[in-house]
Amino acid sequence: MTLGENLHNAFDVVFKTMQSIEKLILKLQNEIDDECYYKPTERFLRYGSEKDYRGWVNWSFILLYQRKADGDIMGNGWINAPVYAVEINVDPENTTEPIIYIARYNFGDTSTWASGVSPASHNIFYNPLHAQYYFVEKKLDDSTTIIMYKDGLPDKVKSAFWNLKYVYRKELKLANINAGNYKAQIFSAIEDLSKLK
Amino acid sequence: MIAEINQKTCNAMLSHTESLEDELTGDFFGTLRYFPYMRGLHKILLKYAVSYDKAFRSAIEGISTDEYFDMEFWKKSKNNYGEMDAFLSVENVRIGIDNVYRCPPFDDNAQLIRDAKMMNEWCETEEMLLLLVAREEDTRKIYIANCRKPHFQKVHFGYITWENIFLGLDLIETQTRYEEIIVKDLRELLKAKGFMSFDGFDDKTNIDGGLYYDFG
Repeated sequence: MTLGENLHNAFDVVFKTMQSIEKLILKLQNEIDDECYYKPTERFLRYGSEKDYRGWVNWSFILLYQRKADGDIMGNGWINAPVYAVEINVDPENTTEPIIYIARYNFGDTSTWASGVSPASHNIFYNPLHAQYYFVEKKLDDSTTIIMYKDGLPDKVKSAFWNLKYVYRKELKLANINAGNYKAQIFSAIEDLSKLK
Repeated sequence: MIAEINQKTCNAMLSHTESLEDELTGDFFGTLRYFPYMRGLHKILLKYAVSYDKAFRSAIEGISTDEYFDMEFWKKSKNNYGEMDAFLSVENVRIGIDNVYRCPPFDDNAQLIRDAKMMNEWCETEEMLLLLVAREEDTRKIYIANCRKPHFQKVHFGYITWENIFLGLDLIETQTRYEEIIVKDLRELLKAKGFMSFDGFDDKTNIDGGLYYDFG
C-alpha cells in the first residue's frame, strides 16, 4: 500500500464511520421513549476549535437526557434531578477503540439553572466524564466508575461545573452497537445508573 | 485530545499551569545540566535562539568555555520581583530563562519587566540575556510585543521555541551510551508535550478501507 492509498483509506473509514455516528445520533435524538425520557436540549454537545488541529475533527458527541420518573419539568426546562449523558467518543487518545459512555451527573438543585445548554458547554460534561484535571475516578464495581473532585479545590471550581457533586459512568464498545440493539443497551445502562444512590 | 486543548481554558481557574511549567523547566533544563555547556545547551542556543538585538547573538556566539557552568532554578529575587525559572551562568554571560508553557501570561509585559529587573538585580558587569521559551504559536507574538520596550536596553532579549529545542536535541554531541539515553529521554519528554513541528506524514500504519463502523 502506498502512503497515498493508506491516507485515502484512513479518511474514507473516518468518513463512513461519521455517517454511522450521525445515524446513531439521529436515533438517539428522535426515537427515544418519550414517556420515560426528556431531552433538556435538542442539540448534541461537541467540541471544535479552529486554532488547534485536535479541534478540527469532532471526537466527542454528548447527548443529554433526564428521566421523567425523577420529577416534573420545571419552567427552566430542567427536571430537578440527575442529568444523564450519552457520549460517543472516537478520540484515539482516549481508549484503544471508540466507546459509548453513559453517565449520571448529580448536580443537586437544578431549579436555579437557565434553560438549555449551549454546545460550548461541552467541557462541563466532558471533563468530569473523563476525570480530567479537577477530577479523579474510582471503580465502584466491574462495570461502574465513580468520578469525584480532587481534594482541596476552591469553591469556584465547583461552581464552574454548575455545582456538580459527582458522576457515575458505564461504558459500551461502539463497535458492538447497531440499529437493532442501541436502545436496549444504552437505555438499560441509564436505568442501572438511576438505581445507584 | 480534547483534554489537552481544554487545559488552555481550564488553567485560568487554578495555578495548574504554573506547576506544569515548573515541571517542564525542571525536567528539561535540569537534565541538560548534565552535559558540558558547549556540547549541550550551547548547540541548541547557537542554532535556534532568535533575537533582533545583535548583542544577544554575539553574547551567545562568544561563549567558548570548557569550564563547569552553573544553572540555578527558581532563583528568588530579594526585591520581591518574583522568581526566574532558570538562571544560567557561563563565562561572563548570565542567561535568565522564562519558560512560558500552555497559556501565555495574561499580562506579558509585567512578567517580562520583572524578569529584566531580576537580571539587573543579580548582575553587575556581566552580559545580561533574557531568553523567552514558549510554543511556536505564542513565542514570536510575545517577543515582538515586548522587544522594543525600554527595560530591554541593558538586558538583551531573545526567544527560542520548544519545537526548535526539540529539533536542537539532534545537535547535542553525545560521547557515551548514557548520554545518548539522556538525549533520548529528553526527546520523549518533548514529544509527549507535543513539541514536534511538521515532519511529513506518517506512513507506518496500514488502513483497511473496508473496516469502518456500520450502524446499520
